[in-house]
Amino acid sequence: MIAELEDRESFDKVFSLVYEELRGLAANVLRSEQGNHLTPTTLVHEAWLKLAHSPELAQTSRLHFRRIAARAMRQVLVEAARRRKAARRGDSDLHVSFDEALPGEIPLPDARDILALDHALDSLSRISERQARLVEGRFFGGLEVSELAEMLQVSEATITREWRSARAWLAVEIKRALAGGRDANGGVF
Amino acid sequence: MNETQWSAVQEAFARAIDLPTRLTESQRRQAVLELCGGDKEIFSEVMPMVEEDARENPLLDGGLDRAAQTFLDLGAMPSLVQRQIGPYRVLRLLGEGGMGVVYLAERTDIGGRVAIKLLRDAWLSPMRRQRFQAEQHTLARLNHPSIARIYDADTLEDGTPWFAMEYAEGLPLNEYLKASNASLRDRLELFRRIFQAVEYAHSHGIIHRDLKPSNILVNENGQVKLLDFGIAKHLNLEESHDRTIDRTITGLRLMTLSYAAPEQLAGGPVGLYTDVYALGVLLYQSVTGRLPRRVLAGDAENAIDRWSAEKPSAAVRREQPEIRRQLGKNEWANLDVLAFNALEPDVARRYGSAGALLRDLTALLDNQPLEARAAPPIQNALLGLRASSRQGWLWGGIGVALVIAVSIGLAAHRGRNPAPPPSVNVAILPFQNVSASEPLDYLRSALPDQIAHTLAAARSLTVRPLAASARFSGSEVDFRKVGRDLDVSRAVTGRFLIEGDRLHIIVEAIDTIEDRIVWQDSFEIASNNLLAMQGQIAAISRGRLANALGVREFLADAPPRTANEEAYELYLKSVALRNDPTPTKQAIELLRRVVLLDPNYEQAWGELASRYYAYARWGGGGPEAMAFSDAAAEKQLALNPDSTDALGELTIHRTERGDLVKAHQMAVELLRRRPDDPNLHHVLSYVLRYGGSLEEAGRECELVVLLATGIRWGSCGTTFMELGDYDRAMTFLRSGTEWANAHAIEVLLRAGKTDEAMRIPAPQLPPWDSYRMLLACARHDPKEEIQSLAAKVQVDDDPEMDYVFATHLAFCGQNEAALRLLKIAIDGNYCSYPAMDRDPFFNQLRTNPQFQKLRLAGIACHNDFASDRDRRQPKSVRSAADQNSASFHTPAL
Repeated sequence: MIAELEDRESFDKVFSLVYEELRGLAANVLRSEQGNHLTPTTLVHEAWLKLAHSPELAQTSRLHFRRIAARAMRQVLVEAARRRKAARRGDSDLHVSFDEALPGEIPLPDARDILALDHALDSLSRISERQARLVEGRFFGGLEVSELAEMLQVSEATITREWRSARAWLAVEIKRALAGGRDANGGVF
Repeated sequence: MNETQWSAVQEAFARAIDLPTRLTESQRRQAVLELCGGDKEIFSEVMPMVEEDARENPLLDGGLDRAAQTFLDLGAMPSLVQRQIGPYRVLRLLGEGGMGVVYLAERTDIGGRVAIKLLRDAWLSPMRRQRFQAEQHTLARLNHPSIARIYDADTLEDGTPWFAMEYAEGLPLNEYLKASNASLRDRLELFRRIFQAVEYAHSHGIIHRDLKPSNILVNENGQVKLLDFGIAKHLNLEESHDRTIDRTITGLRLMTLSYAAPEQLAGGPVGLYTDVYALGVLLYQSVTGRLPRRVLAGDAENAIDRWSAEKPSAAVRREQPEIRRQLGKNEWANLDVLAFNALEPDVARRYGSAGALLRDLTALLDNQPLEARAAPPIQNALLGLRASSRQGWLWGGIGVALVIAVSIGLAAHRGRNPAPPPSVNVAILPFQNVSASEPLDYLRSALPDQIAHTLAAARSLTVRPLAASARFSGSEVDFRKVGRDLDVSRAVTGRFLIEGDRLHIIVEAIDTIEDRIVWQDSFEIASNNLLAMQGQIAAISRGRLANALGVREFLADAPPRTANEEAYELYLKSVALRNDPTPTKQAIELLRRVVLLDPNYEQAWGELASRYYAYARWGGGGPEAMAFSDAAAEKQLALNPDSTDALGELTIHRTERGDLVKAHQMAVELLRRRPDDPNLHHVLSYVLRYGGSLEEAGRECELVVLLATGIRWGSCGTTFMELGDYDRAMTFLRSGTEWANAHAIEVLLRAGKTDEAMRIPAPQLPPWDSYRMLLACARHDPKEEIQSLAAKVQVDDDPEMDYVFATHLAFCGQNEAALRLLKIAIDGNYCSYPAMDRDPFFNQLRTNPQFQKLRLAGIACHNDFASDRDRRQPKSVRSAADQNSASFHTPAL
């Protein structure tokens, strides 16, 4: 119990640090000209460069850092999406879901998609903690298959397989959520 | 869906996606249903997944980068402009960073402008709120015209904390200098004001850590305002990361590279000297118009920065000859020296604080000699030590060589700081319970604890550890003896009496030389109102009592007290419990409840940290308790970043974990803050012993004794034992505790005093089976008995214990086990190979090849430790003896 508490505390510490770093970087970059080219992967990379030598992270491996960064990035984006959604509450009718988009035009994901993904990821973590971490690491942290395999201590084949099923499941969940939620029987058919 | 269903779903899914593509839609559905074993529920999950699998998903496939582009508006929180916050109306955004936003606001009732800072995303973690509060706390402590004042603090309805502070107008330093066209002399005068402001913060123990032009505002009258003491982020628009607080040695996370000191780049411990470096860069830049040139010389891995030395005068001569005439030749020479000493990469040779820098700048402007040019500060340190130790003559007995060694050691800690004012030593004795009633008996030790805590922050006052003064209790105390034994000139004690529901408390201060009461005060409160008592005691200690003891200044604000009655009572009860294993466990139970009741109770966290340590080491608590001790000390540190107790505790832990380099840095930094604190010298001696710098460890122990005559830090007994000075070791081991008894056994055996050793009762605590084995061997017990005892000797998580056990096993001829434990000790970074060389217990093993290999490993371990220190510490302060011990020499065979 003690060890767990320790772990959570140190996670919290590094997490807050990374979170703030990401926000600070994002805010800075957005104000500058480079705002258009900003990507979360760049942010995570920059955050690592800046934080790698800080004593707080002395015990933290790059991989561990990226796992935490993935979590922080998820938090940052979900928060941003929430704000965006709140700000646009009035015109939510105009939301175009992927299916309705014109052929040939790949629609950009919307705030609601991120929120739906966040929600679906929470559901996934209840049935498979590992797959939720996998998705979090891959999607929000940009981790490679080999890195995920190392992080989760499984083979790369397992990662590929589990990503595929998790992806499909999440796609279904997100679609259901955006279509107005799934019915009580768990089916949309 | 549950986990079992999920694995069924995944299994069916994995096979379904391998179905041949030529199937028609209905064939496919049929096939998938079969794969689901006809289970409709599973099918209803799997089929849509199969469909989605075949389809592109822009969100999941496009990855985060695309997703983020559309809405990564991380910038502002919903704007608060025009909103009313407390009595303020928000006017406009001033700036924002990762942690907070700052607005300009005006006070609607009485007018006037303020800057309001809000914590964004307060929900994210409790740590953010803590740090935000810490900022507030820092500001509240500083009251200086050059530092923004705090006015008000509260939370919004949604729980967002905010505080209002003075709004400063002016230009950032570099822009001001550009615009003002000030003469060189005016610039230096301006820097004098900047140094004064930083010195003020330094004198309050606050390191700015991010001094740069944009954090120094100058208004049209040339008045300076320092921003962003982890606070005023609002005018810091370019680099607003809102790094705050954490002004401990854990270091800074982000810095503006141009102004960052080498130790910051290296992730090393930061201190007041870190600000000095930044000030040096600012000064250099303001004089020459550009940054000092820095070249990384070879050691990129450790980022030890070697500054390519160009004197400001030379840069000016070449680049701005027109301003050269503004200062005289002597002044230029002094400016060069001053800049060099501020920009010195080696922190031990840099000015120690803004105060030192200020004195030399003032000297420069007054055309006086600089301190930085003065002779090595050995004499000063010697005088300082004399002044702080009334019994300087005691040295006579120790011998001239030692005196020099000691004073050199001290000089290293004191650096260029001037000798502190004469320090008063005080012992706080247990109070007497003069009522017949038992319930509040714990106040006997709880009241002294409260007083000691308050006085701990007093400048020029050293409080003896309560553990040392505890034995002077009762009504028949001989105060002259207290004075002699504890080397104090004053004692504080008192009495309390319960009458009905009233609690009367008397506090008095006694002159131990003349044995008379020099001050007395009394008060009474409701006996069920302990919080009122706490408040009274704290107020008296900080006020009239401090006055009576000659304290003129406190280094820090009064430690925050708890407002939770129950927490306070439990805390007091825990303090009264002795340090033996059973009461220690009880104390931990109490303290755990205390911190649950009041998680911000700093003192309680500190107590918990030391209780858990004791439990880990001597109560069988093991690594788990150790981890908890760590956590508690960290917590204490978070609540009070200035707590040398917490830092000392953590340094000891680090040492035992083998992180010697870091531990040594911490110990040195602690001593820099409180050079006269014997406890901190003890911490340093501890690290040095583990690192195998035995001679130095011994000198630190001598300092401990000099600074606190009469108090025995038991662990110094181990140091002198390893040095082979068994008589001296024994002087530290006479307390009669289990710990001291156990160690006395091995010291006496080493000294050949077997009979005396065998008279000591065998320690009964489980971690000390090794000592029972030692006694059995000394008695020449039957072989089987010794072997069965030897089998009980277990690996400890403190490498020093493993080392000690190894010596015992060697003494008992259990060579294999001894070598095994010795290896574990050295692997755990117990580098004391000089002890290995001297220890008679190893005599039988010395020619053993494996032992010799381990000895080499010990030397390598020590050299790693010593070489890191060499990099950070000038050679001159390390004695020749230690340099010898760092080199290889053949073992005496």
